[in-house]
Amino acid sequence: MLNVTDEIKKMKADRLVSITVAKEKGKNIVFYHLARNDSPEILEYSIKVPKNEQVKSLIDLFENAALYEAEATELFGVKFRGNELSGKRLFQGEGPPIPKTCAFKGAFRVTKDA
Amino acid sequence: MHDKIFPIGPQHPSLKEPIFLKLHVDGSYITKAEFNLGYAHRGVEKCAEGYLLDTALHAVQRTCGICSQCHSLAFLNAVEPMAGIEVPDKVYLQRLLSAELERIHSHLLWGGLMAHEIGLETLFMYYWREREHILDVFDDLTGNRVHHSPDLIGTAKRAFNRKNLDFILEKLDLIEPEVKELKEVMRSERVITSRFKKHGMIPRKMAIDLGLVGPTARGSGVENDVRVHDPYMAYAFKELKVKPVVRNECDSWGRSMVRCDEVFESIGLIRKACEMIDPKEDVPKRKNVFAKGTYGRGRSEAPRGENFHFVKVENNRISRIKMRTPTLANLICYSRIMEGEDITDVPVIMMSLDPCISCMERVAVIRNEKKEVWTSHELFEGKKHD
Repeated sequence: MLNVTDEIKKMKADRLVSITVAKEKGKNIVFYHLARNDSPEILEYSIKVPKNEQVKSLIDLFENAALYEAEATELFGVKFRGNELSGKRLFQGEGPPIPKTCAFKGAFRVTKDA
Repeated sequence: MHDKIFPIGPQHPSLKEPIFLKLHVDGSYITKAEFNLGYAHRGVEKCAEGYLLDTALHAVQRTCGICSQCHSLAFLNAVEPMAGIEVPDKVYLQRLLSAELERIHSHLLWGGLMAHEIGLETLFMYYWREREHILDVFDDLTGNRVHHSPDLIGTAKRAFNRKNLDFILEKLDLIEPEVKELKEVMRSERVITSRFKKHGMIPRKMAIDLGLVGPTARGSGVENDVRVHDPYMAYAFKELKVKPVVRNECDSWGRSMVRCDEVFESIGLIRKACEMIDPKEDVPKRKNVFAKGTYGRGRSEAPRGENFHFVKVENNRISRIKMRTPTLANLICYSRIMEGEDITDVPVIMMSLDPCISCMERVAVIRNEKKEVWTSHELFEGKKHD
């Protein structure tokens, strides 16, 4: 498990702005963007995450990490240990069922020239 | 104690955008609140990928119908330093004009919806009547009322002339006294005060701990405004310093008053910017833009709070863009502030947070009557499409 908590603690940030995952040469890179109240700059910390490796959740430092980590898990499959939301679907919970008469059945490929 | 589940949404008269609230109730009191998302997705992040920077801007500007300019500014803040472009002051001032007009328009739209939620339909129409003036200004400046998209990387699509600036000032003179009166109605109307005061409490500590942004944080005494802490573009000019509106009530009322007062702050900024713009100066012509860096990040203060964009470029094309909208940052407090409230207060509390759900959504695919979420890789490769 990759632990980023100590490194991020050293940055002495007041607020977590966002957690982003981007792919580079097939590997996931997790970017943490943070801010201080007394400084205009955005602090950045990034870490390469090998396949099947987990990252320790930042939830103990910043509570709002829960949603950003959940989104990263959903879109890129990066798992965060210690975040209950990380395994669940943030954008696909157990909502009301889609009625059988729904016109939008089937899979639709998302293409840029559609 | 009887624990029942009371669903609201995803389609509900009190919700303007689809979100599913699952409320655990004891009688009419909420003991626990959960939410589900994924009912409206436009895939803007994906649409922008693979395109050149200036083409991607076209998609980015269409992320939100209410705050399209603020998405554009966050993107430009990320991309312009990467491309090493110097932007003239006139373009910066024009961007500030559009952004502040958008803030007025967004807050007036919110005021109307808020009045509609509590059944004050006449107040709703008064608010939206004033909002129409701002849409007329956008129509005059750009030819579009909603997705006005006046920006290009390093420049603007057209230069504002004397006639445009006079039209803006004329409209501001029209709406300022009216908005003052509407604010007075809000302050004095007992129906509004009784439903807003002491409801939807977000203590200052909670707002700081959860990293809330925009009027939601400022209504709880947290001075969080990108225009002040990280002044960008024309906000860095000393004549255009922003005084953030901060209230300490920590309830729905505090957040509402922040929005009301921000309208006047924006009107003041626009008037100053109109004085500073040289109406005879032209803006630079559009140029081909080449990114020198690989990563860029930028933020802007949208009407709902801090908007953050992260852009990754490969071979001069966007390979990943992340838009962290203010609603996603504020979403974490939704379930907490509902707890202990009455069901009837839910629509009002929701409105006091001014959510913009559709900008925040990512991806959901309907397949075999079930919703699925695709990873970015699967979406790009189309692997799930047999």
